[in-house]
Amino acid sequence: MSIEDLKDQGILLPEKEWGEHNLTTTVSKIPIFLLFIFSVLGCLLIFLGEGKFWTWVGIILFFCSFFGVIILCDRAIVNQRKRTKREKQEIETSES
Amino acid sequence: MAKETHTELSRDLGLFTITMVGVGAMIGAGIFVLTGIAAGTAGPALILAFAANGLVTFLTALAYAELGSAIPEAGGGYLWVKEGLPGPNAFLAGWMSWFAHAVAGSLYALGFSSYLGFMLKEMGVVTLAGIPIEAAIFQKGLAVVIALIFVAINFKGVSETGLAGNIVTMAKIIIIGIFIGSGLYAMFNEPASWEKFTPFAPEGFAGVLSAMGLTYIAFEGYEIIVQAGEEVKDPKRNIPRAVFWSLAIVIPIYILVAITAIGAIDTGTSQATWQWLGEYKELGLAEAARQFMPFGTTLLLIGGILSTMSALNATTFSSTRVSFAMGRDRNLPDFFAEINEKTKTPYLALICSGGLIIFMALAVPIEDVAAAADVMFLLLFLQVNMAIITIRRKYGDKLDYGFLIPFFPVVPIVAIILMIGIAVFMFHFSPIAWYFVIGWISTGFVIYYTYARKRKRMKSASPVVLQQSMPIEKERYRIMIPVANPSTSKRLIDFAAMIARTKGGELVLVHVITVPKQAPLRVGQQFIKRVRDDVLDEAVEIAENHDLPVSSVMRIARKPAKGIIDEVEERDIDMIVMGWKGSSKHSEAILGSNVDKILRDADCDIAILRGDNFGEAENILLPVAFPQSAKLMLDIGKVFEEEQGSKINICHVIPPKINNNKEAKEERLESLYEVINEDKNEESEAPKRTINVQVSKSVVSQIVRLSKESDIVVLGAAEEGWFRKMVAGSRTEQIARLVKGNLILVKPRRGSIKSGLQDVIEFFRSKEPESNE
Repeated sequence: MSIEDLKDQGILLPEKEWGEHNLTTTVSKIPIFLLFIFSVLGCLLIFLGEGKFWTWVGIILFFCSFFGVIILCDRAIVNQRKRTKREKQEIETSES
Repeated sequence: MAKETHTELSRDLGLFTITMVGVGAMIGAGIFVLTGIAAGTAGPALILAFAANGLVTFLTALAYAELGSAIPEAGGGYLWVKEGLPGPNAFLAGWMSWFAHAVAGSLYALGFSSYLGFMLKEMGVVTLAGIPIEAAIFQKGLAVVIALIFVAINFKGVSETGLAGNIVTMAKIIIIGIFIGSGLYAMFNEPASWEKFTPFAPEGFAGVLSAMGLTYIAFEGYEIIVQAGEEVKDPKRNIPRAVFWSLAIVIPIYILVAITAIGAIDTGTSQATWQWLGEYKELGLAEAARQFMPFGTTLLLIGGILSTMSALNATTFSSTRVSFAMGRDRNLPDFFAEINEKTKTPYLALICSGGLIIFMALAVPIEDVAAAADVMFLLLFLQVNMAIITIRRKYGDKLDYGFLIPFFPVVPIVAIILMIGIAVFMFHFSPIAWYFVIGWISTGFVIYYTYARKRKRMKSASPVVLQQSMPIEKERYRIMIPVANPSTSKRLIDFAAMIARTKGGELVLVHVITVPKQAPLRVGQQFIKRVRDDVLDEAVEIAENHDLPVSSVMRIARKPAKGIIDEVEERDIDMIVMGWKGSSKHSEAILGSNVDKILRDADCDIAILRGDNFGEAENILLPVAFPQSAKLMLDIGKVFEEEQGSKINICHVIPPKINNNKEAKEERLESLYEVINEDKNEESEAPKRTINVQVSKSVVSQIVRLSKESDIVVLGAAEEGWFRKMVAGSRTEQIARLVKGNLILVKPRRGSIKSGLQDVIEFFRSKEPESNE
């Protein structure tokens, strides 16, 4: 594969849009970082709980925080599409 | 080159369907076959192994979400590695993917035979065709039979798709759902169940890591989501969402299966439940279901049989597809890409994949088969995580992303480290698996360097449109002269002829017809006659006057450098002699974009001439700096010495600081003397060559000063990395620009290992997208 192949397959943006789109993530960084840390903490609790009370707390913490991470990623995908659409409109406007 | 028509599949998979495809792929044979084995390895900490695997796999899922949304093509991981990593990586990605899918097929074939054998036993069948059902030979034999059946099914071109596929997936989910539900019900009715989770990690953290590695294969279903990318509606939105939601569904299910499998059963002895599950290995889940689930064993066996069959079908298909694609890409012999006329299936790729599945099923125990597949998938995903970094760097601003990884590139780097850790740790669990993996990868390297690389180069080489009197004596020293302008070609040919005479070599004249990107390459053909008449014939005439074997070649390419490099690779050229005007049009180029590229990519000695008069040189200055280039510089100097009686002045300029350090000075000079007197032994009559040591604070100005007393300056470089670095901003560039007279820049051939390494470094350094043309 090469730039020519990607172009032929229609995968690349139109050339006028190259370099015009924001490449920073739309995922909320601090919340996802915290939730991921909670997921890791959940795993630690599962281990340190030795199969007793704290293990079950760890499992619940893991489930909740992992689900939160997924929700944040899902929201980021929606936001990313919105941003791309807005950027495309801006490029069109600046051209015209 | 005519543009090929791009065919695209109809996009009819919505978010729910594609999520279910991923869920179906994950809740499958992996969970049915591996839960018992993994429980025996980790104990109740299997719960932790599943949770931690969820986190590790989530990091790679982020990469799949980003790349799957930006490049939603059927190739998936293999395609991205091909796009994002240099050298043998693309080949190895396909090679490993082939093995991983085939070995996963072996695992499912063995799992199927265990489940079917167990079912027959439940039905009271003790022997079949005289073979006891419990005998190992029965299990292996049945695995071979089922593998052959699915080879035959795939040969017919029948695949489990559409409604049948969905029914199988739903049946698996329902069976697992009933298992979890009835297990939790049993646990809540028996308070002692909750005590079965202590001791939690009887095999310590090592057991957890082993179970993680062992069950990793059960998490790789999101690969199927991106492989179906071409059929997904609004792929930029739905692919990444399906990747995440399938994990959100599957990971809790795995954890709940582990909880119920360990908590809900009663071994009836003092034996811990995890040990009991471990003893039953792949049948652990079916045995567990017998205790607390209505029609448990029957349902689990049906689920297991359906899962292993659909997984075996899928892996036979995918391993065949990968090897077929590799054959088509010329990475494997052409027969891998051969299609049966009647069934339209790649039957030879299928036979080879089937052979691999059967071999692994016969040769290795089931847990080692699983471990081998896991290590391969880990290494494959590791490559994907590496590829995402380079793809963002080279194509990021040109791609339309549906999702972007947060904390880039930290996340893929962490994923790489974690996967290396798990993969390495798998050696602790199954050394045999690693031996197979190492053997497979080593074989892959050998095939790549001895076979695939050459074929790939030939495929992407610029077309040769004219070739005259090419000699066939490979032993001769072959010097290539790119000719573009008859007025400047003569000095290049005369110079090359001097070298060819002293080395008993031959000349290859090359002209590259360049065609801009706006036009197809075939447009270049209309210039063949004119170029031959105006440029090549005249050059051939000049060359033939030297009484040396001469041949000429004409190629068509987008850039002259591409044609020249292709010629070097195809004809095993030993040296390129080319001209340089002395300036570059592009600010980012050093000697000019074409010369730079040739210096970087052509694997042969290179001599670049600037100036008009190389015919009557009395004094030749060789400012040697490094032993690597000193040899070639001296060779050039000796040519002038022999042909024109020139006097060679070998000099080495050292700063006062080094001059004052006796040890450092001697060390430097010793390595240079070793090279320049390489051909002078004890008996040699000729006097040894000496180096004129000059001490100066400025190496550049001293060489420029010395150059004024010389007719030709031969300037060299040790190696490309150094050369480019040096040329880019310091000495060689400054010297080359300040020396006013005739100048020859030389660069010696790189070693093949160094050459490969240099290519890799250059690939990662460069932000430029890769180009075929």
